[in-house]
Amino acid sequence: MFKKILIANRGEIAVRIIRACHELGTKAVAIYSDVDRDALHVRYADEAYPCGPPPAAESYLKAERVVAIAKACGAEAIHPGYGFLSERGFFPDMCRDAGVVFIGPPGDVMRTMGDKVTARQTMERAGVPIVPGVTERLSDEAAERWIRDAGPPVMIKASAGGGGKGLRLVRELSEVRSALQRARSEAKASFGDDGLYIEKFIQQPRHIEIQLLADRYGNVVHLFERECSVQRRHQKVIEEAPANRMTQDLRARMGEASVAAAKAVGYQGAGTCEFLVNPKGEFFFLEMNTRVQVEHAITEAITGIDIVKAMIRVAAGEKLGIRQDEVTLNGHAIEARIYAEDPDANFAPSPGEILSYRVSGGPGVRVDSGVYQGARVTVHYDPMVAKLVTWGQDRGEAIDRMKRALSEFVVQGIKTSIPFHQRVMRHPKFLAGEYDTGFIETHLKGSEPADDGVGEARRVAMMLAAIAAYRRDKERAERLDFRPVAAAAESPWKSVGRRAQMRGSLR
Amino acid sequence: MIYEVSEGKTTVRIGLRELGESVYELTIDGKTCRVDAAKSGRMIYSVIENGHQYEAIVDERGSHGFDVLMAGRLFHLDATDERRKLLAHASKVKAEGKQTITAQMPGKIVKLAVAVGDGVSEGQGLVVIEAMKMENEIPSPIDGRVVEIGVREGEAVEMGALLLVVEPQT
Repeated sequence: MFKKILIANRGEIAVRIIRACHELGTKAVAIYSDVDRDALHVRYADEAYPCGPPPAAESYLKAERVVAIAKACGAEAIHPGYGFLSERGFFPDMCRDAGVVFIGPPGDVMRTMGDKVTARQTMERAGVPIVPGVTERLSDEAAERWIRDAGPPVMIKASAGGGGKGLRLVRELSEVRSALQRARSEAKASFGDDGLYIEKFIQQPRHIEIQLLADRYGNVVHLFERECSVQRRHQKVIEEAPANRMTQDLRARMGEASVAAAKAVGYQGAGTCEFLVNPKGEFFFLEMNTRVQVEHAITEAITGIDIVKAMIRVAAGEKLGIRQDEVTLNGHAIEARIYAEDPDANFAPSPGEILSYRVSGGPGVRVDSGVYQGARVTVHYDPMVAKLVTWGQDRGEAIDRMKRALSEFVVQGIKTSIPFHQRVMRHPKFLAGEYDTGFIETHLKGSEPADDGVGEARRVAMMLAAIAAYRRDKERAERLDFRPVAAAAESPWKSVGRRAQMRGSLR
Repeated sequence: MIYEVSEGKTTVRIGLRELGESVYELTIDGKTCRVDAAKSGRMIYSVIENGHQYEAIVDERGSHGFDVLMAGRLFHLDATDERRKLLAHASKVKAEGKQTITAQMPGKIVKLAVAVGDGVSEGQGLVVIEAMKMENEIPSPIDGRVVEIGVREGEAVEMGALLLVVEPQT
């Protein structure tokens, strides 16, 4: 086992990895940018070194500097967490060349699975269903022929693409020609490359992913699935494990396909195969994440397996030590990502100082967080402040616990998505488990319809608003008394009179 | 005191009286109730009304907005002191010319802070009237000079009684 690991990350995932290190008896080394000197991950670490100015590109993404710090302090391995350097294909190679173990897959495997086209080809060869489509660059005529044969709806995507640019949904054959033209010009303008590819459009898809663990000896197991269909702008908001409307048969087929794919590429460490599942229960490979996922904790909750420790152990050369038939599924877990964002301002980030912070507790509740009271949420990094995970013997209990835990969670000073999660937790479609990736767009736009049982809460809230206003006015009036002595001495009546006015003597 | 509390277009008038440390008597929709609202942290309230306890997180929004997160719901409320609203409205009109200041309520002159001939500035306290056991300072509406005083300290006055006249300085 490693004696010392450097964590090339920050926030809750750095804290999570430090916890795993300490449980393994391994020293944890933190790195921090100039604004993160006071961050929680620094305080939990055994060693901590500055890595540069606040922008990630000048600190957490400075690969050479991170490796140099690891070498200088004698860390034998680097855990990249998620984001930052975790999926940069060159980074595992750079670590290897420096004689530091990268906790994750080898560089060539990461590059193969990181590229959309080669990942698709690899999966296809491994017998994993992929979204039907053509990945080679097509002329307009060839594209039109393909769409005619496959039938709409289809998605036209930019080969060099990303971020929705050059993306066109075609529902009717008559739209094909203009959609191709517009996608091409958009792709040309955005990426300097007008190459396009086409995929069948999966209607009402659910996002379901399989968690994998692999050692360097070719042992691969899957830890069942997670459903991540509650998304906003392609950002996961709530995840659960196991998935809704899942059958033993579908789980086995998705799990086997993912394991086969991991074996085919010689995968090592923790990874996730993401799929789209249509209403008929057909699944299609979407992409592979070659790192630990944000939502790994719900899988830990239902399997009892510590994924981060497993990653570290296999990177240290240990065998997985668990067979597929020994992996058991127990109960149900839900994760709510608590973001520093304002649900009333179109979920714009809400940075600032956390003035009060009280996390939920009690049975079946886990909070992974990178903040504390007095900590600052800056504009430089991910706005996620905490992950709230609840476990129950079944989905109903997990939801009940989530509702309870959300009501206990207090964050002040910044706006958070806690009220949004509470709204989801009482939505009939969510409660029924009948939702797809269009859930937020379809069901949570606009304000919530009024329902029974709110009247009483509203009445108390209104009274409380009056009390809060009164107390604030009173406190302000009292503060006016603490003016400089000279000014107060001038006219004591003034302050008395003003205070009386504030109190409201004019009845 | 009366607070106007509104949610969107709905406005409710709430009477509020402080009974003691964090205890209030509130009148809403003609019903009066006693509420214990203990505050901890910045704005985390525990409200107990008739044995029912609610925890609520209150965030101030602007000058009189209060976002109340309670029972899993976020209420966007505005709460304004009704009287202050009237005052704010009145003070928007900038006073001009000679100002005759009269008593807005019956009461007793407990303090006369100026004498005829004194120069005064806008907002400066001129006279303090005690009414209903509360003292109210009457400020000068303009910069100017006191040209007339109609009352003496200790005197009881009726509503509308002439208190002072302030002339702008030229």
